[in-house]
Amino acid sequence: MEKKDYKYDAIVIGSGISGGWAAKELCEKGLKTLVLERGRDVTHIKDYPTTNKYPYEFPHRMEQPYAVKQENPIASRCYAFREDTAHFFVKDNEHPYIQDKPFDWIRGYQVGGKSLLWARQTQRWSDYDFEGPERDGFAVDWPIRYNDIKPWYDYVEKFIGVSGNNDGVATLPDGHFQKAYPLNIVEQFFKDKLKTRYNDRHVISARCAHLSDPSPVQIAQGRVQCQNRKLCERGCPFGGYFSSNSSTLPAAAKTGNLTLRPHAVVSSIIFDEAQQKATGVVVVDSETNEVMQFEARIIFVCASTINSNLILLNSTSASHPNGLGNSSGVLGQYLAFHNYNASIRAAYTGHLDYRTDGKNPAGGGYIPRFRNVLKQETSFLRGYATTIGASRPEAIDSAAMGDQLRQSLLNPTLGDWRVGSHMMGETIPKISNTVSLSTTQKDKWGVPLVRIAIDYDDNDHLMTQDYLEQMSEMFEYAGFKNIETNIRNQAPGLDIHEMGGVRMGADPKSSILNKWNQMHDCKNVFVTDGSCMTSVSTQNPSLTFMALTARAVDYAVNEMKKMNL
Amino acid sequence: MNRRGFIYRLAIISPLLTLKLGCTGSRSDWDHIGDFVKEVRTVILPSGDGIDIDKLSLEHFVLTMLQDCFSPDDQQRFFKGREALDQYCSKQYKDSFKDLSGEKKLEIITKINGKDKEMDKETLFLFAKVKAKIIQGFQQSELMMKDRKRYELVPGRYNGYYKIA
Repeated sequence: MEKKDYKYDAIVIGSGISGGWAAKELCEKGLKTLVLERGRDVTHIKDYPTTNKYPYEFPHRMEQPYAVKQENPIASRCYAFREDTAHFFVKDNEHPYIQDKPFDWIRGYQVGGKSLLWARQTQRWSDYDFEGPERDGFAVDWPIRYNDIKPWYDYVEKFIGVSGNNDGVATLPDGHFQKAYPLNIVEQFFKDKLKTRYNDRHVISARCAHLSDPSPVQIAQGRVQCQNRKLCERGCPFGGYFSSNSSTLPAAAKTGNLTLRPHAVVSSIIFDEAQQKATGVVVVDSETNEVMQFEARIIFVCASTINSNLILLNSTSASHPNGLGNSSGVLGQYLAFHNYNASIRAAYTGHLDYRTDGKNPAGGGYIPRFRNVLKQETSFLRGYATTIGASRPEAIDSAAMGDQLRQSLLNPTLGDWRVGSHMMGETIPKISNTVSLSTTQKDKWGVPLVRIAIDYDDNDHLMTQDYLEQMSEMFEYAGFKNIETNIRNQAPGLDIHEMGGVRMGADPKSSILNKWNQMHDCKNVFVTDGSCMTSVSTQNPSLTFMALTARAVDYAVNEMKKMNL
Repeated sequence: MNRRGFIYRLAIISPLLTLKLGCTGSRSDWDHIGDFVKEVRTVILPSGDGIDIDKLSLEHFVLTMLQDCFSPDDQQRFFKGREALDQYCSKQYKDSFKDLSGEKKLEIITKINGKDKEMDKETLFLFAKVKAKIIQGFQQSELMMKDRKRYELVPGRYNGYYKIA
């Protein structure tokens, strides 16, 4: 291995939603920061090749050809993997992994990572979430509570821009929001109808990281109001939604302290036995296969949940024979995800004198968790949030032919309203849900392949049934017709909310990270992506990753100033 | 790049590339399907209302989709369906579908469109896919999406209470 003198104040592994925030905060606090991204560079606007194309400009009208689906069965199961977006997805055969149990690992290896592809839903966690493991006796107690993270939710929301209402729902704390995208007439009807029967089931406008009314903070980033295109996964030239590419990485670059190195596969973190701390990382250039070392005083691991587990497990030394920071033995265990395994849809024949016009980037409504909130009340632990959306599609006379068909296509009529929802259930982190390293297989850069063994359990199945029963009851009460329930039987991973394996906790004997996302066993390494999560709640997690990252950087830099790191 | 030129090249090149890259069936099989697509398109979605549908090249789009976006099993069903159609025509009219008069083609396509029980199920399968793709191609044509403003690349608005006049 060639050892070069590449020294920085800080190294950030990964440039996605967490890595982008680490880069911005570290650079703005004056640290010379190296961001290592295993994929190619993607520069905001310049590298969004499909962003302004009409559907007819794609040979298959955005559908993936059969051969592509055959070559990429995993990526193809993701709703967003289309002809117009495929360039931002990892192809199945490019980066193999081992599925000890079925797991659809959806990845975006490029600068910006999955922040280009995320669903942009942004909800705060509450103490009902942070206190969940302790109350219900699973995982370990979170070492933080809502008040610890609240200022950082404020800080992040003000920078990224989040649309929503302050709804006053205890399970979903209010925040700093731009104007919400309002519910449409049928979503509002459903909300009002539920109010007449339930006092704990609230339909709110989905909160999302779209600029409905950009503040000077976002305008200074070069971003403008969301244009309601809903072509987000192609990359947005308006910066209408938050991504690392449009927001945090440019902010980091503006300081002059950022060095961004794409095509840099981090194989391990170097631990110095004499100093008893990490001194840098080993990197393989994915294009040249050159092996390099980079040094820094602190290291932020933001490589995405499973890859962060992989890097730490592969970082062995005399002091850390089972992986960096793994004296507890829990590294790579207690992963969890979100149970998206059921959906429901129906027709509604009211309000037929209305339709929608334009597009709602928030997607519609959201019902925060209402099961087992104040106390345990069902046969399963925890609960689920749900989406709720209504639309009124155009209908044509598809049985017609000739002039009649043409005229039907030129003059479509409006059908009934369609109403739909899918569940977002909390799963329980279990010791049996693991990622580990293959002892026999390596990738083309010499890094062991990761093995994934994550599965549903009886709690998830009971929760799924309850979701379908409760939603059916609510739909029936609202007068919706032709209710169809669907169990998707999708593998874990397709929710793209895998979390854990490097969990936070107060006790070094049962956790990897302390309350500052700092390794108990290696104080100058911080892990702030999804792998740090002790439990998974029902909320979309990215906002919490960002807030934890900003908080951890603030702590780390203060510790550096005190010469503790 | 000239958009129309680009679309035209995509429409022409894509099916040819696909034939090389692995879709099933011989050139002859696909020629038959291509001819069938043209006949069906002419009958079920004729020009009119000021629209020259011949200029939209829908046949190229449909053939591209049949060749690129369906499984080999489905493609075999297309060929069987096309063959069964000829067998039906031969039995009924002593001629292949291609050589029938326009009047008889209309009669047969009307029967298929009505899911006539006399028609082979694979012929109905082929027709259903062809028709769906003709409709999709028309709805997503530049004429409909851009010129007739059925699709907005930049809507810039959302109104969830749009009152229908």
